[in-house]
Amino acid sequence: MAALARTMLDRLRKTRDRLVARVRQVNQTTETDVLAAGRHVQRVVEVAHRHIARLREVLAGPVGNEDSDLARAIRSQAEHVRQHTAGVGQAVAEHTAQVGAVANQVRLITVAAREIERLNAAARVLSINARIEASRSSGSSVFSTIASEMQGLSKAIASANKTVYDLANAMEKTVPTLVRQNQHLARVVDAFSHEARERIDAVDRRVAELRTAVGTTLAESDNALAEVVSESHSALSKLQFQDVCAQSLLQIDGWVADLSHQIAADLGVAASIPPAVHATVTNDDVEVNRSEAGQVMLF
Amino acid sequence: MKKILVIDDSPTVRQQVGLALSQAGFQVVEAVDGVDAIGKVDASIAMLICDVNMPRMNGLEMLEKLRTDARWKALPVVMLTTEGQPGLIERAKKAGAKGWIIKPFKAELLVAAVQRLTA
Repeated sequence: MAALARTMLDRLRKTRDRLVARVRQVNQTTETDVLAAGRHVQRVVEVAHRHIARLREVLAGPVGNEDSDLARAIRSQAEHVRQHTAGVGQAVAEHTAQVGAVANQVRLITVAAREIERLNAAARVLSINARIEASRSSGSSVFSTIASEMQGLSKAIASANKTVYDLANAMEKTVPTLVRQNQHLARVVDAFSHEARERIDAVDRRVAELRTAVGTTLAESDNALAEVVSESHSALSKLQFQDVCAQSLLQIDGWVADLSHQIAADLGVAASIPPAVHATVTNDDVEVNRSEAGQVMLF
Repeated sequence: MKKILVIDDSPTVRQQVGLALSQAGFQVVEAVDGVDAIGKVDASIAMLICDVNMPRMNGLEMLEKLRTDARWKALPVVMLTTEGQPGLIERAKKAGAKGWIIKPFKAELLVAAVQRLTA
């Protein structure tokens, strides 16, 4: 009986050795694969993190906020155009005022020329009177000289006044053209200013829309990344089967060791039985409710 | 950055806990059993996450030994194990464990527990 018991215990020990060796072999293989899978998932998360960071850098840099480069450049250019169009508008207004003043001055020149013409008519009358007096006084040389000088002066005044008239007439024709051109220029400048303001406003709106879109995209990317991380953690959690299975399988070795002790005791055989290869706090065959797995009990 | 000591004889579990915690902004230090853990506990450690069934010194023995040192009386320890027997949970509670998690763990719940206990 004792020999049979020792044979049985020896076979049990060999079975345990084979069991443990096989469990360790399988455990090593699955552990290697699980660790590799874990590293792959980690790499996926790292790549996603890098991608989002790059996306954030690219999008947030030029247009992501009020102080970004593009927003600042657009605001600067818009302000420049506003100042420029305002300056041109002011210059055109000043030019219009000056043209109006010139038109007024031309009218005053015309009035002055008429007055000169009136005075010249008086000079001609004086010349005629002097000639009449010269004939009455039998060709008085004094009156003849006066008549001759007055006639010469009258002709010179008439000639000068004609020049003034001609210039005034020419200017009167030119000034309205100048006024029309100036008004046209003012309308062009006004239209340009209006269009420039509208276009600047449109660019501002587009930049604001782009900024909003960038913000939304980045938020979506963050959510997507959070989802990737969460899903990867879920996937990794599933990989813990390896540790759970390994511990459960190695527990069999503990049960067989207990069985060996029991047999040796029952049959009164002294035997050297190696302890269980994987230390467990308790060797009870208690089925853990796996639905509780992952739950956190805080004390 | 808070430092968490993860004690488990399974490299798979250490890797997964490490990944979850490092992505949540924690620094992770690893130990392979209770003896290794006792040698690695120092003032920079904010919390321990510890398996129960391990060679050389199991998690409960490690916890009980840790509490004999006045410096580590209040150091938060959470057990992370395949075991779920009420007797073991009660023993851990008496030894001063702050929590018990049955494997396989859920990363977000583990991280939330660590954040709460190290806050």
